[in-house]
Amino acid sequence: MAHLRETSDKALKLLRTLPRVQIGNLRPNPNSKQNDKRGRAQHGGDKHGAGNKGSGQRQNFMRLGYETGNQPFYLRFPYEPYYKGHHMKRQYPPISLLQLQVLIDTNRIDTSQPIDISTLCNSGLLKLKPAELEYGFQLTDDGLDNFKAKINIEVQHASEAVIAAIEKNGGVIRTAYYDPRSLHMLVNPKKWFQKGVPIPSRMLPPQDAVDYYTNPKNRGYLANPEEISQDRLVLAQKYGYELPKIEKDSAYEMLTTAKDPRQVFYGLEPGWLVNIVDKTITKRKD
Amino acid sequence: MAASGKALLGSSLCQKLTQFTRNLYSQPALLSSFRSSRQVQELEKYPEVEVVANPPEWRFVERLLPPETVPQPVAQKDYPSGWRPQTEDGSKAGYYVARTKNHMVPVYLQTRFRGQRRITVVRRVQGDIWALEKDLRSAVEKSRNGKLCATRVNELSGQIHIHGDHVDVLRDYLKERGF
Amino acid sequence: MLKNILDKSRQVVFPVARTLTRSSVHGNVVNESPAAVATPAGTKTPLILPQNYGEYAPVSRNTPRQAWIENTDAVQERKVGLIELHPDVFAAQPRVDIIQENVEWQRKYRYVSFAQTKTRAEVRGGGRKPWPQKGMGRARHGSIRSPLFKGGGVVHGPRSPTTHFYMLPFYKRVLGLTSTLSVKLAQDDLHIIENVDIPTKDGQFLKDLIAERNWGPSVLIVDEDHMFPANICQATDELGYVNLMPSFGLNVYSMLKHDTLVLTVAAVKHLEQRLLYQLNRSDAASKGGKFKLDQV
Repeated sequence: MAHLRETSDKALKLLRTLPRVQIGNLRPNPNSKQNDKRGRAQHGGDKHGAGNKGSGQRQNFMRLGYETGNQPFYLRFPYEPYYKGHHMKRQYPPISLLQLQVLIDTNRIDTSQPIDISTLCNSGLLKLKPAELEYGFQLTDDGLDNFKAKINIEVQHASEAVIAAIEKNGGVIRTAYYDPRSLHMLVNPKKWFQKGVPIPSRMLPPQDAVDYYTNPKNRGYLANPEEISQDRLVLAQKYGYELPKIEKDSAYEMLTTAKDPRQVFYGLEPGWLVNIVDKTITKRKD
Repeated sequence: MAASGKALLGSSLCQKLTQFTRNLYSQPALLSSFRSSRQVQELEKYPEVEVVANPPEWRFVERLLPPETVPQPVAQKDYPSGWRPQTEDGSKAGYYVARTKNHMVPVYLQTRFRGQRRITVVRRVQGDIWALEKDLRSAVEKSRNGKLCATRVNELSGQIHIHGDHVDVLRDYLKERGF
Repeated sequence: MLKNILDKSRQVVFPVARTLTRSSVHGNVVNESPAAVATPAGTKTPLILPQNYGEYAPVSRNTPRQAWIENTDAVQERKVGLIELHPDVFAAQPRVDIIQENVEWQRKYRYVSFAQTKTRAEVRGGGRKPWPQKGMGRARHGSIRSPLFKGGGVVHGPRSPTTHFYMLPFYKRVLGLTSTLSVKLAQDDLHIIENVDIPTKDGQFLKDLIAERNWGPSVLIVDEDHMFPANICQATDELGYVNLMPSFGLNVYSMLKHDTLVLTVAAVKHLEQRLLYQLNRSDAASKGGKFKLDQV
């Protein structure tokens, strides 16, 4: 280890010659404290930046867009309600293939295990807020050319190019729906286990998501597996790459691991109670 | 015996009564798990369970527990994402730019005045910060064909501020140097 | 008489097992350092405690700090061994401004101001109009307790209770601790002792020890365990300027309030381990948010 003449070293050396740092001789950094008092004398607190007379001084501004009686601009033209109900729609925050590759390169994600929402959230770098209608991650195609990892990943939305990029490397991708309660469990499994509640089963997708998750083109988790394997081949021909044979892969078992549609965590069945303090699982006897 | 039977009767009666009053006066609150949950029933009504210590499925639970500290990167042949591990320890250059806790190069963009002022900040500098500032400035000036570039050095906090958005240039430069 | 009873009760309260655990720790420490240097006869083998950088590699390129481990079994100072300190904790940038912020926070977060003034409604009397509105040649007034009057209410005066509670950002608190420890070490105000076992329960022993080694006058002694041995508890009981503290309670204000900080080897290891964990934890982002009062 090289030892540089470091700034902190210089400062610590200087401190040796200075009086003892004590409660009595500490001062805040110069100019770091703002005076929270406004002047109230004749000119000290003159107009407080609010000007003279009228709505400016009284700070009772007109509502945004109001044009003192004219038909306001924002109401002047008819419009189509593209964004109607946007606050009710499911959100899928994006993560790019580049981000995923960085996570893999810096050892934040273990590629020898299947990747799902909890793997991504446990890295500590990605966040999902189910309470704000975020229903999972979508994988975007940024950094598609540099993606080289062979993974088994489960996301909630993925485009065709992303699916092709992952399958080209011999990986497996699947899109799956999670209801908000399951998402809440997946986002912070440790905290959820500490509640001491049996694992509930995952809900089926709502009506408007059924089409997406039963479509083999999207690698939906409810699609026919045979149709998916056929579509893998079709996609390989479309994008012009040779589909690596998963059956002959050494990591065949990992690559073909998938959750049951009613299962939340890999390997753990609904109804089980996990105790992470005593390291026990409570199961039903039959 | 009789007394206990009476107590049991009383308790079940009491239970029914409370349930009845609950149904009468309170709507089951959907958001509250306490108020919407059923009352505890007799044990026979519940399925039999067993507590398995050292279950074979424990590895699935362990996989779900996050690592306590940031893991160290594993040495690989190549890193497709463009990320590089730090190789230089500053003994040659006389200065050192430490990686962040997440093993990234600490070069950031500060925007002020609604994006009108962009300042590139290089943090975590140790050693001869003035030599590094000279090197970074020359790298930036080279990338913009010799046009001069203003910088500012804060030796106490180990930061160099460079006028303009040169994040990609400086990050690549530092990575190339092994920092 | 009373003192005897107190002593007896102390012996009951502070279990004897404490000394056993301490000696067992000491034994482990010796086992860890097989490369002990030969010493003159009559002394124990010296402790050489190298830093284990495997877990947390130092970010700082500073020269690693080394400190003597001193004895506590006699007034005379004797170097028992040498300990290597982690530069990220004991040679960090001495951010005196962050230390100041910590001190201010520690003063304020538990301070409740009880300063109170009465408004015109609270001052006794003043319900009657003092004189008629017109015809007197005097200014119009509605109450003798109006703020304009002598003995009237106070406008915008302090109201009790006013809390001054706030939370300093989490990593400012961590940096405050590393900065203060670094400052204390740099100014020779940090000493490391092998344990807190002193031979007598006499306060004079500690007085002599502090005078002999040029500590203090005020000394804060920190150990990992919150149960201190009976001897040191009784010896420090009468000395107001020598205080004991477990390492989990160590804070910036107490470190600065005492002139000298004395850490045991176990406390040093514990502090290093806790602070380095905070500087390297993977869920650091979760610590960055706003402080919520009723958070789980």
